[in-house]
Amino acid sequence: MLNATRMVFSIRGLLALMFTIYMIVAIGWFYDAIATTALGEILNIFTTQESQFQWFVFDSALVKLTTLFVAPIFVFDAISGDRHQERLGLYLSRPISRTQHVLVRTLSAFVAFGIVYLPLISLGYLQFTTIVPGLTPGPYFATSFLLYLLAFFSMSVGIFISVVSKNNMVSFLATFGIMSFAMLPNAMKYSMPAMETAAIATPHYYATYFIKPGNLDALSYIGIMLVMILFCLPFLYLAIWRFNKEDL
Amino acid sequence: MPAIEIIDVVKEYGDVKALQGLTLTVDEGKVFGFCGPNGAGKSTTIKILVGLVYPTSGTAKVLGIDAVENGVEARAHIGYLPEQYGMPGWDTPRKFLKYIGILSGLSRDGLDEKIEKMAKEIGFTEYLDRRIKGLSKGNKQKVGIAQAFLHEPKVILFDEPTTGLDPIGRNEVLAAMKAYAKQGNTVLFSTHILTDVEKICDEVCILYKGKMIEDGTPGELRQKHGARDLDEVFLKVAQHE
Ligand SMILES: Nc1ncnc2c1ncn2[C@@H]1O[C@H](COP(=O)(O)OP(=O)(O)OP(=O)(O)O)[C@@H](O)[C@H]1O
Ligand SMILES: [Mg+2]
Repeated sequence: MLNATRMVFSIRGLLALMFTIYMIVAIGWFYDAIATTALGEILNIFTTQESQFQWFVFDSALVKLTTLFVAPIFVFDAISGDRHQERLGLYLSRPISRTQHVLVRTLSAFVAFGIVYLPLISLGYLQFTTIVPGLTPGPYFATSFLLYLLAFFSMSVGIFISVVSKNNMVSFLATFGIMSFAMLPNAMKYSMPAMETAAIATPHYYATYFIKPGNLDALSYIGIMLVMILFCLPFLYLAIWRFNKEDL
Repeated sequence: MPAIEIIDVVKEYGDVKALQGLTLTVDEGKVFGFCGPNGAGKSTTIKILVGLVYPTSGTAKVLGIDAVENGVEARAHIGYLPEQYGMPGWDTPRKFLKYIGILSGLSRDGLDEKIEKMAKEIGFTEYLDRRIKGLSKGNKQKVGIAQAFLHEPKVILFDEPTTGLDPIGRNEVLAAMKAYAKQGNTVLFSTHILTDVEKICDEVCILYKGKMIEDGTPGELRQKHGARDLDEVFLKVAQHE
């Protein structure tokens, strides 16, 4: 917790927040730009209520993107940074296990990201209720939570790369690279149905699989949550396994 | 029960044989000087005891606890100063020491007083609330030494603790190590400054290419080699090998 709050109020937290806001605005504009051809419409961030609803709640493309790309900012140097700055030896000479170290670093990043994410999502809700009739907090926050789990996936990949990598920059770029690659099948399945099978093998598919207003079934929701956590575990496991073998 | 027990430890980094069957025992309450030329394997040995490096074979124990199998338990009794290390530059020594204290399992109550007492003993009270980034090398080293003493470990493992310190600071740190051992704790430190060893060590060993080639009290080694001081012993031994 100490780490989480420290992170949020650090430059990194600010960066993440600004990046998130930037992405929302930029993608909103981009969406409008391709959705309509009239120049005047470009400045009108959201074209129609319907498309916005679909875009945000059904596809969640925007939040998914920001979640996926902002989350790694919180972990990319969690291990590689300390290694590079030669702090790892000091920390790991304390009576904590390496497994603990990796888990604490990941979880505190997850909490820190949550502190940025939750207000953003809540603000989003306030805005959406005004334009989407019949939107209730249930499905909205349920979707948002799945996206939060998607961020956890992002972080699990990030922490693994941070463990493997000796260099912050490499860690940063590799995480972003892998995340961009991993999101492709699900993004492409709309235009290329053949991608559907590949998409099923990514957690992105599940992050938006289920949400339809009025269609909130607790059991399948929990199932989806578990599936998404299952996607994270191999990366966390690999990170811990690799870290436990390393000579520092 | 010896405080430190290393039995037939081999460490290979790929083709590099850093330790080639090192066996070494340090009794409780002793100050032990760990000497040897660059690359002899001093840091590697200390890191194995702290669990930062895994031995290829052999056993390493601290207070009878296996440093590899039960590393967490062993480390609870160890205070370690790495040869090279960084600290979070934006934090103050106070904040950093608090963090380390909590990692070492100390309770938050009274931690502040403990840190202040430590700063006074080691002599960096006036820097306690500055950013670590801006401290001089020697003052950083003092913070590093403080974090190792903070949880009052039974075994101190210092890798070249006096590098970067001025003569005053050096003598203070040597005195602190000696005094700490007097209380029944064990201190092992590596160094290239053999006068330091002569000043405070009960026992000394010389490591060469991953093997121990000499050990005994400083007096014994001087006598055995008919040398005036340990520097001379070191040179004779190293040339002979
Ligand atoms: N991570 C590593 N990878 C490969 N070789 C290593 C590694 N760490 C140490 N070595 C090698 O192991 C040998 C022993 O190194 P070590 O650092 O233990 O020596 P040292 O006695 O502490 O030397 P110094 O007095 O210079 O600090 C050296 O040959 C070194 O090059
Ligand atoms: Mg060394």
